Amino acid sequence: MTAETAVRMPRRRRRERVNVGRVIMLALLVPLMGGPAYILLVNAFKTQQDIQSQPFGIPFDRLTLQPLIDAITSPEYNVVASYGFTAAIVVVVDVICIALAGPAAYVIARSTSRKTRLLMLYFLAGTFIPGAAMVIPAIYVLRTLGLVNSFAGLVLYDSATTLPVSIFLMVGYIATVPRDIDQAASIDGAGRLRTFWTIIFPLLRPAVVTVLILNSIGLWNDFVSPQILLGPSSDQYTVTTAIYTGISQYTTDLTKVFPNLLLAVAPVIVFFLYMQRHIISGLTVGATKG
Amino acid sequence: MKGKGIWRRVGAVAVVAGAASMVLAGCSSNGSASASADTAKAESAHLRIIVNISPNLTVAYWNKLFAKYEKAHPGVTVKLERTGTISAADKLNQDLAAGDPPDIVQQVTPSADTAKLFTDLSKESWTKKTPLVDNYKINGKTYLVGAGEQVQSLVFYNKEAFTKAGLDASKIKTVAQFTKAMGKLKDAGYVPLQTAGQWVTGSQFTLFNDSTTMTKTPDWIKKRREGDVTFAGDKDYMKSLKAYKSWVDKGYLQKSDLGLAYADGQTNFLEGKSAMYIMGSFFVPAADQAKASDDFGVFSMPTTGTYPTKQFSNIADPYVVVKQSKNQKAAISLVKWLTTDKTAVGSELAADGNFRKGYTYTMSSLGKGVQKIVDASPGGFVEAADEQPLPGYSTELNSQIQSLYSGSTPKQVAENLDTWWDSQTQ
Amino acid sequence: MAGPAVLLYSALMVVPVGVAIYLSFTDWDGFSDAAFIGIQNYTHLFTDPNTTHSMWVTVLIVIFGSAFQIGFGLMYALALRQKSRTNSVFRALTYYPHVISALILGFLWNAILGTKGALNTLLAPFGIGPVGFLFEQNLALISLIAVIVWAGFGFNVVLFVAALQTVPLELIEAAEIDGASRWQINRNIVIPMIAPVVTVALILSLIGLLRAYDIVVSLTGGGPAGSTSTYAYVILAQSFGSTKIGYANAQAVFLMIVSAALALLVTALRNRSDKAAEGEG
Repeated sequence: MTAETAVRMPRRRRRERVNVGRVIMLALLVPLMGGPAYILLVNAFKTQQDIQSQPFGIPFDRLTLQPLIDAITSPEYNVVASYGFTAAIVVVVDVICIALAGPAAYVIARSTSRKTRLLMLYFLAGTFIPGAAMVIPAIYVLRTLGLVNSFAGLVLYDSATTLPVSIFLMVGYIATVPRDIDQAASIDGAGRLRTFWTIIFPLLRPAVVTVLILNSIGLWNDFVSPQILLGPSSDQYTVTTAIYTGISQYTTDLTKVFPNLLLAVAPVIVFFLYMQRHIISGLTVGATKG
Repeated sequence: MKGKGIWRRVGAVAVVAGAASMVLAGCSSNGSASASADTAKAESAHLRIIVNISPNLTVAYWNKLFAKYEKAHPGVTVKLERTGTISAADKLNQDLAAGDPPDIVQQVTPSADTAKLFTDLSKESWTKKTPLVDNYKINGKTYLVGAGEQVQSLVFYNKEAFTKAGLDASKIKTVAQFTKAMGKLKDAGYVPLQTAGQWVTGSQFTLFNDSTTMTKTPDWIKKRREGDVTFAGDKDYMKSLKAYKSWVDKGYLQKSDLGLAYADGQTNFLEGKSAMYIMGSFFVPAADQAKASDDFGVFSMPTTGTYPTKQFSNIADPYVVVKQSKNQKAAISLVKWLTTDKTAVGSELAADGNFRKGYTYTMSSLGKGVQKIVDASPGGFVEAADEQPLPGYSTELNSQIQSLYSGSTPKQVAENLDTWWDSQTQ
Repeated sequence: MAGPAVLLYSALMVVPVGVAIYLSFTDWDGFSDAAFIGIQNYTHLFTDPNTTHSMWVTVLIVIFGSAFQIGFGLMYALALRQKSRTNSVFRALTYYPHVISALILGFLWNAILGTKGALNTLLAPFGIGPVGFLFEQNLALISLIAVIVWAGFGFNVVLFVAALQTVPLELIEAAEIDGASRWQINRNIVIPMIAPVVTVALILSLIGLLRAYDIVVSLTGGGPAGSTSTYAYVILAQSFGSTKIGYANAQAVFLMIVSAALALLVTALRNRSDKAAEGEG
């Protein structure tokens, strides 16, 4: 019996008793979870007056695109302009992470020596260090390296913080790849690094996808690192820092708050809807291996 | 496997893109460093300045002002630096920590500990003409210069509300009379006193209390620093706290106002929802802009001491030059312009309702009302230099005053303030 | 092959920890020379009312936040474990906040719970004065925890559903034949089987909540009167902007120690209960 059929069978066997408790629980979800999303969406297209007097209503005759257009074309803290910069950070960090974590995970997964077990623990320790705590001393280290307030500094720091979890996930997955494959490759005379990238890596797609998704979401939404390590003097904003600096000025002008929040959230939601399956399966791979 | 080739190509592109952007980033930061080194010689510079942004002093206002300077000084560009929601002082500290401070900072008051961060301007003769310059000297040296002064021991009131409640502003001089007036205003259907969240709560209390305390004992804060007095042991402080608490209990101050931002609270008052508003002279331009100046009046802070009290004074548009800045000459030049050039000063004064001897500008009736109070006051007191509270005090006080709305007693607040003050060992 | 990773990780994660530890024993203000002051910063952690209060706030958030995130996660996972279209939709509904930045969620909820926010505007016609979701001290903390739970329980739902779907059906059917109620089945068979995943979720929850910062910035700004200022918030919003850099680093180091200790503690407890279970089984 496969897992799929195993789960589906009971519904035929049990009498369909409507579980009232369950229905209530699920019914509650709709306003609780859907409500805020609805409010965000609807109020991004209203005038200040309408937002304040009827936050839940949809005044069809007074809906306007103007606040959204203003937000998109805003000369300051433009969220749309920050998409590119944030995407650049995500892409570069993703590449560095895989490039570094992959081989490291391979070495750790394949080795049987005590030293490499310690290496794994060394990396694992990094998962316990809270970002909020680390970013402060990191600033001084970056300062010594001359990388403070720069794209390079932020990217290197972010990459370092993604290594522990990424290595951990990949080690778990590489362990499921049979060693015969490595041996076959070395017989052909391939060096270890080459073996990894040409033979093993293509087999790691699920783990790599998981790592990429987890890291990308985390990086896109990261606020602490860019706020502290990439000050306003660099004139560059990620989506989060743009929202932060912009909205804190406009808390009273709701026609600026909602459209900007919507713009900030839109790419993530689109990504989420499109990749839902992968995100969820990636999460579960990670957790059940843990 | 289909995946392999695509991965490789994507990876290659990404690595190239990433490397390119890193190189570009490296280039641009190096570029600006060498640019500013060169430009110091060529009399052109790129200056970064942190300024105070408020409903009166908008980004647009500052950019317009700086554009004037840029026009008169080709080759110099002035760039506004924003701080988000943190104070200018905190932002400066963070920038210093990151090794990347701006050239000029507004709204930072040097203390004996921090003076070394700023350029000593004592040798610049023009500084002697700037207002309140002596009050801010540290160890006899000048680090801070400003364009004007503002006064803050003021209570603005809604004229219509007073008429309705049968009140005469000129008769409100003592705290007891003040409290009684609030009762009448409440009966007339108004929220007697407008407050707000953010920094407003603590600030209003400071204006209320310090007008009395600092008039009686001009070096009270210095004494507190030296431990000769305490909050809990000071009769005036306790009286002020008790009075404030009684207003909270009687509903003269509304708890829900704590959820309002500074701008919202001000709007409430301008719209006539509340009757009185403790605020500084910078309220006047806001009233002017709302074309409502004639609807409001102002009187000097009520006190348990002699009336009128000295005015809580602040230097307005204060500037310091950061010592680590690479554009010293250009920065000092800009600061000089901002604090001595007639057009610049006039503009800054008018924008925020500030004052300066020798400068007049057309004032509204409300502005004139404030001017009258300034003229009639026995002087001003400035909480700077020796009389500057410990860093973080205003934040702590704000928290404590807000807790009065949730059941704290005046005694607890005073004791908490003392505990906090004493625990700041450095 | 592991070289580059080790190098980057050491340079930007391990070295900063060392730097933090070093600075925590000094009185550095960010620009002058640093003087060694022993454990003064660490004792100050417990004498500074601001810091101790934030520790208390954080403890409350960690305990109640985790409890409810795990609790609701489990409840909804049990309700949504069957594979069906509707269940997928509901699961996505619980989970979507997790992909959105905490900062943004805080601004959104601020617009909903604020004095002039959507919720208060809704209640106003009924004569219910502006409810102090965000300006009443204790209520603000409850609101913060509620928003944190709202944003985080969906992650657990997804996690637990995946784990639940690995529970072999034969066991459940056998128990049903024996006459066990659904509640008994859940309690005695299902939940123990997914215990490892629950442990992982618990650790992630605890550690994640210890560093609550983004949401505080945008939802309450640490107020009112510091009632929602978490420990991480005090470090970043206050200490870092002050001249007490040595102290800020001591605060940071303390947080690292507590995080690590908590994670190890939970793991050790689980290992012990595992061994006990094996002993019985």
